[in-house]
Amino acid sequence: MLILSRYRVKFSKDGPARFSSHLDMVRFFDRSTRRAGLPVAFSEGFNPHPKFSFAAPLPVGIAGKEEYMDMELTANLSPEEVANRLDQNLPEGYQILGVKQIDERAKNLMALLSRAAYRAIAEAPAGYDTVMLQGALDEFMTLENIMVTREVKGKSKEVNLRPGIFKLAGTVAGHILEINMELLIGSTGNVRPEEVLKELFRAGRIPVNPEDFRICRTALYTDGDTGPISLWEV
Amino acid sequence: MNKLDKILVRVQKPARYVGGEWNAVKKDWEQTSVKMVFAFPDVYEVGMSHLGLQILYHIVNKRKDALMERVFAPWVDMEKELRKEKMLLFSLESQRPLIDFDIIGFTLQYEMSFSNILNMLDLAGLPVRSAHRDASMPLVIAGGPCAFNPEPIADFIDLFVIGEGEEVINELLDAFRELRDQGVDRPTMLKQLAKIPGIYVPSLYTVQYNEDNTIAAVTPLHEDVPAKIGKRIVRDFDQVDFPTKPIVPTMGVVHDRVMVEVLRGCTRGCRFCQAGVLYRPVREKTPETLVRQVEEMINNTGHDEISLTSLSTADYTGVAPLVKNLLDIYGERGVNVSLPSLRLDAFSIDLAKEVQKVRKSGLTFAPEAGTQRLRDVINKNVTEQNLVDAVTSAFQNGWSAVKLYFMIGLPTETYEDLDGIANMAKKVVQIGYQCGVPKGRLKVTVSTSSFVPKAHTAFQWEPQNTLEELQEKQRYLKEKLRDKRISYNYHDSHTSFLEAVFAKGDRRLGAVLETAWTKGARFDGWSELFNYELWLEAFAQENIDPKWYAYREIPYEEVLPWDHLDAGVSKRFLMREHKKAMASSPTVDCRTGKCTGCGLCPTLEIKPTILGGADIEPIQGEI
Repeated sequence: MLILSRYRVKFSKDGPARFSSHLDMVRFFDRSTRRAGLPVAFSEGFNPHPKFSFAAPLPVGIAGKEEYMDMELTANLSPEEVANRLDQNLPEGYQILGVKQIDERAKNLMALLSRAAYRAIAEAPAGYDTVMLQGALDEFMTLENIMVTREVKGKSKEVNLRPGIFKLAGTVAGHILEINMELLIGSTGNVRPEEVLKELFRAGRIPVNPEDFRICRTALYTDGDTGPISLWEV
Repeated sequence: MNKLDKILVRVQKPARYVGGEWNAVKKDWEQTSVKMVFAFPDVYEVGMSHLGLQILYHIVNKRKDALMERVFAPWVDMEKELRKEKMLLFSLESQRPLIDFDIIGFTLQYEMSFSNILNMLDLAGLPVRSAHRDASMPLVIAGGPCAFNPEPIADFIDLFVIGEGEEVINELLDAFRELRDQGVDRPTMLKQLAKIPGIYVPSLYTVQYNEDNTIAAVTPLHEDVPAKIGKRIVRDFDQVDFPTKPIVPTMGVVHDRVMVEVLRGCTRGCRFCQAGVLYRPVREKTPETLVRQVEEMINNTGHDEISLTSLSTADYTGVAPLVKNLLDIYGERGVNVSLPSLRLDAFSIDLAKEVQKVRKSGLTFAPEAGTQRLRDVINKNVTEQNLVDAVTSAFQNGWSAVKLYFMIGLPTETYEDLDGIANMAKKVVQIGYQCGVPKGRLKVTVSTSSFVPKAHTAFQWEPQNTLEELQEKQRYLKEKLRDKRISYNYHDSHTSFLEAVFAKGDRRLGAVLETAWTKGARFDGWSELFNYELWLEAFAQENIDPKWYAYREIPYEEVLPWDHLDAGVSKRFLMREHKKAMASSPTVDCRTGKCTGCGLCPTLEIKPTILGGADIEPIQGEI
């Protein structure tokens, strides 16, 4: 019988890798595992592909501090060995943060995923401070509805962002303006950090153009019994 | 947040501009003496599919005293952002502006990329004309197939490399380094570099014209500058340095696979084919070398496909055992083998069957012309029976769709030849039925491109069909091929016309090119950006008639704009081939052992390298 071992891989994506699409990243991992000589399991069928599964795709341009993928191997290697071999074969901007073996029947990442944390950083205008920023964010959070228009397959659709915004906090330290968000992500819906920034700017609540933010996804969570827990802790 | 990051989130496919790929080389800038950037005048996806880039990148970066980085043409959205933010065009590896490099090297793969060269120089912050650049600016060089008639871009490029770059690049860099360290001015440097065989410095030649616009003479301006520049070729192709650690692209590119060059050159002698002349003589690598290179490349890249490249891979002496051997080794590892150019014969089907075991793709056959008469004119030595056998075999082996590739507007073509194309397509459909291909799945695709006469070929004296003639022929074929099992595609004839003008152009076209670029010509090979009207305006403004270049039948006696550049094949041979074409008389392949007297081997003192095959004794002297 074929041995199948399943691993959860935690990694970061920054630098030039930030500009790779999700599809390109899947291809990187395919090539990286082949270079690393890892015995990846392949799907059956006409066009076999490696058995990888990822948490939610990271939009092009956004860095990821704690991203996840699951992979299946046809041999039982130690997590340390998988981590080492992978880390040595990833292109610039990728780093392996941890690998652990998980149950073959564990729930897949996409099904677990429920919220994501983001950090957006920009240059603060002179005289702008934390009190002003946090005040504006708190006020924003008191709104019942935050309606935005999304283009879905050429059709416009009205969506309410508010239920998907769990946390919003900001600081201004020196000339750095930082906004931290926790937003809905996964199979039940999505709120994109750019959308939140755009709404904040449009309504005059923040003084910085959304395009001038550098965004990073800092954590991915699942719903635990007492609140969100990191995908790594599942 | 820096300017570049800001720009990158606003453009399509930002991965085109960031580098960071596996096997990319980042050298210590301060510790490296000669800095060169390889400039590909098309987008990343096209440029990264080009083997020549990988070869030169490897050879230059192997040197301790030199580095090579890369730059590709920015797509129009990126260009807009760069200009808006007043940012200079930069390299991928170190993100340094191109003006910081010593040498910018363009590759000339296609005439329709010329406008992008001017645009890239301008985005780099450099004057586009070489006369306006001095020793404080990078030396702008170019090579590749279009360097064999570089006259239309002679005003913009400091020097051209004629022939195979890996043979010249080290000599060029050595000489450059020495001259630069001496602090010489640009004219002195160019005069010295012109002494290297295979280097053509256009500013050291003057062109005289006759009253009828034809060329009277191309003459060197100094005594020690050669009157004729010969091409450089790799002599030991089996042992030549080959990049077995190629850069693995970060994003999907046109050819996303490992490319192993099994042979260089082609002996078939199709009379329209420029590559067949430029890359002569044919040189094969040994199977041992190839197997070793494939092994290294797979390990170093992680790619899941190996492409055995050349102008005609099925001609490789040991192709069947080589393919079988590679499939035995790599098939189990999920690595696919592909042969991009297969000839139309049953032997090829057997090969196709082999390589399709891992993954199945389409089959394309290139009869090129619809009748035997016209195939004899172009010296495409395949018969209708070859096609019948090949498609029968294909349909019997499970393929249900085939593509047929033809050229229209070939010399001496008549409507009977076009009928021949339609008849062949219908015959293939019938064969499909007879072989039991299910009705709904049977599909025959016919593609036609328009004949473009090219420099250094037997058809260089031939006129191109007019736009109206080509369009009428396309309409005629469209009508004839009206059948739901057949789909017909054709190339835009305006592009082919412009390609012919520049392929056979002279230095006077430089002004047109500059004007067209100023008016906004970019990515002319991309149908969504090609603007024919704009080109017509540029020709009118410079008072140049493009038709004169494309539609004129040139007499043998006339001086051609590229006569001072020698591809090794004698002009007398090309004339003889031209005459034989007009008489529908084919010429054999020298691979059979019979020398055709093209004159290349005695001139360049080289012989074809064909493994265990024919020993070809080149005919000496003029015949």
